[in-house]
Amino acid sequence: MHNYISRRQFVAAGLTVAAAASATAAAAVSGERPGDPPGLKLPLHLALFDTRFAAAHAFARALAVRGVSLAPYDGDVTPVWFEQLDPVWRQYPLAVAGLTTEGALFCLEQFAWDNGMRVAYRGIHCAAPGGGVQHLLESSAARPQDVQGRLAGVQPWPAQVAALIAGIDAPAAAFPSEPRSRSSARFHTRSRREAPAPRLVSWLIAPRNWRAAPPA
Amino acid sequence: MRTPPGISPATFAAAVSQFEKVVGPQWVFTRDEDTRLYNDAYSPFLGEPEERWASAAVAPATVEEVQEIVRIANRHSVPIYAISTGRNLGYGGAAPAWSGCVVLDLKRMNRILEVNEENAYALVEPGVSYFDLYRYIQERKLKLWIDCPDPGWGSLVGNALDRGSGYTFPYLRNHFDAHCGMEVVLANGELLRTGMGALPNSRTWQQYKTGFGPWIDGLFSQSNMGVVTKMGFWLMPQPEAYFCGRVLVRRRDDLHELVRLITLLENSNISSGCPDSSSPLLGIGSIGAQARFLAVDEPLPADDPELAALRDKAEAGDPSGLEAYGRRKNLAYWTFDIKFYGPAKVVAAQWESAKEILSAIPEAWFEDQGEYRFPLTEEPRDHARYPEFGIPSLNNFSLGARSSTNPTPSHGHMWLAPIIPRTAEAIFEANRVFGEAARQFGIPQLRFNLPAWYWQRSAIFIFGFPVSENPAENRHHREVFFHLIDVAGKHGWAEYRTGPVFQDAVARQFSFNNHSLMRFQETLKDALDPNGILSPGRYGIWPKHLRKPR
Ligand SMILES: Cc1cc2nc3c(=O)[nH]c(=O)nc-3n(C[C@H](O)[C@H](O)[C@H](O)COP(=O)(O)OP(=O)(O)OC[C@H]3O[C@@H](n4cnc5c(N)ncnc54)[C@H](O)[C@@H]3O)c2cc1C
Repeated sequence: MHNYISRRQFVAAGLTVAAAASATAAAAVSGERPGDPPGLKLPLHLALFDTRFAAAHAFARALAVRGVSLAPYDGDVTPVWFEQLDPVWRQYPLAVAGLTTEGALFCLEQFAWDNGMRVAYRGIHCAAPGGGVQHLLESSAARPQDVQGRLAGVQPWPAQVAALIAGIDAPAAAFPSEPRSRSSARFHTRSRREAPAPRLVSWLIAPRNWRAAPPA
Repeated sequence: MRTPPGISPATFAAAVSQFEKVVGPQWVFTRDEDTRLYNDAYSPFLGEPEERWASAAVAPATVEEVQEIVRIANRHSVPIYAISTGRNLGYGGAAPAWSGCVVLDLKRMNRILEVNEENAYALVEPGVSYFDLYRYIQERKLKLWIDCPDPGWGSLVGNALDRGSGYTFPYLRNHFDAHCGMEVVLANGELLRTGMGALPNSRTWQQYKTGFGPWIDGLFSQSNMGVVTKMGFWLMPQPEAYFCGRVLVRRRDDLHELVRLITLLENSNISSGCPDSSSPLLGIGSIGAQARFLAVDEPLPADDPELAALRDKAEAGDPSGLEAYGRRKNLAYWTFDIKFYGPAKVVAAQWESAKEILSAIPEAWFEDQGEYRFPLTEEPRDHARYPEFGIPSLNNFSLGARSSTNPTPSHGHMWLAPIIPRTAEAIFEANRVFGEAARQFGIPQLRFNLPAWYWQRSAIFIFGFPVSENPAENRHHREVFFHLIDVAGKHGWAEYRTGPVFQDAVARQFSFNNHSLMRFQETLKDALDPNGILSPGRYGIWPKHLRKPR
């Protein structure tokens, strides 16, 4: 963290990007050009991804082209949280998405709660017994459209998950801790090139009232 | 809105509305969606009716607000449960010990009131996390280190009050020992300062622990006698260097001399960091190696079938085959990592001296595990060392997460953490006793294990029993846990700390002279908190109206 030159340099770069990110993301919200991937329906501050996993890279790329700045990390989510999220979350509850391990989401969710935010969408992705990847997508019961009928496209699943998150267009309803008040949908995807994936989780953490553009 | 047991909805509503007047309605939480966040994510009763729940939460920002809330709670007999950052995972999380309490969430009280670089101490409020204090020190470039537990997101106050531990100097890694002076709100709302803090205009509150007369600080740890609103802590001057050396020995019975000498090194201040042990032959990693392994999701090294058979024989009492295998493959039976902080020259001399002392063990050999100079100019090669360098982290948090080696992960774990004597006899005996007891219950994972060495004059076993979404499995683990508490008690061992579900059972073990310790605590509880509003049941101390016959 602060002590390490390598990480400090990386973070300095990350923060510069992050400062510009809100504005970029906000621009992506409004200004889509034909041929661009569909923009964000609501602004996203950062996309976290665990660089150990190819799927996470693909997810991040798909959000980067929508103007979201990226926060890569390799296994330990601490530096991203300490250097990039905590300083911002103390000021504003800004939305972030990620494709990470469950351990990382567990930590980030607790911090999110302290800052008036909630997990608004979660997808669990793991290797299917007969090959391919099994997905369980969950959102609040009030927003079944966020997860139902998804992951049917031809793109690799991480890109489809990124599109799903980018398409969420309403104030986040709290992700219910009660399983029975969640909407859920199961999918199975198969791709010849896909490496067997460990269990990963895609997620969106958003302010409880995710309406306004973030402060510039 | 759920109400605390025995409190009418009207009374509760009146108390809540008065809380709102004190802190503002935005800092009083009564909706299920919010109160559920205080549930223990690692609850041993996950999803069962006995899972602990909060009726509401209130988050004050100042000491005066805490005093006012306590007075209101007292007037209405509404039970409250104070937390600092509420990250007590494995030991109860943020959930109250008694369901229905209003959680008094002190996270907003997060001011760092003083950091003294020359004399290495700090005074903080309960909401200050290890990360917060680390950030403060780094931003000001102070030459100070903190001593933090594995996860850095907890608070200095909450961790010390639950008597947690870290990784640096012995007197600092015992977090309750490392504190110096408290400020406490009593159940009647009165404010008290301990130690030198009781002296108006005191200038030594964080410099001299015991003050004058009885030293009462212990009454507020692992208890429910007051709400702590400030605490002083001693910090570590940034050392010039850190060195880790490893001693390796060949024979099973070498553990006796090894533990004795490691203890001597520590008690003589020759070594200064937290020792860490392993057994390559038995396949027991050091705590550091386990943290590394869990964090990076590497597959377990494939075991040689010959080795597996020899391990079984060794566990059954005949280690000769395993020792011979070790000689052939140059594998140690036991290793200890010994750590040193200080000037580079001193550290080098200490390691030389340690090697001389440990050479008394026949065939012992030594390996250098690496030196670091501070401030660090590059990341440590080994992330598991972060807390040893006073750097808070969440790196360790893959524990319980799903990985290729752990395909059906738990929702966390309940720590069974008995303190045992610091001798090899005790290690062998505890392994035999716990192993037999666990096998009776069909728990295979309690194979031979090594304790941790956080505490200077004792050792501590830490077994994590998984919590899952399967109530039958959780019930089974609770049964074993309760059983092992009794078994430990019968052998003169007890947990250093435990979660609310098990606190009565552990407290019952401390029964000397017809429970005179508990009777003393209850006498104090009745005098200090006659309405029993503060954290009922915490560490087995119940107010009169909820006390059950022993
Ligand atoms: C993977 C893992 C590794 C861990 N490693 C360690 C470790 O190395 N060392 C260690 O010590 N722990 C460890 N823990 C346990 C735990 O996470 C830490 O001890 C944590 O710091 C405790 O949470 P907290 O600081 O937020 O305390 P809190 O949850 O805020 O407090 C703990 C309890 O103290 C009481 N309390 C808190 N504040 C007050 C107050 N102001 N007034 C009165 N009473 C109060 C309450 O009863 C509360 O429930 C580990 C847990 C996990 C999951």
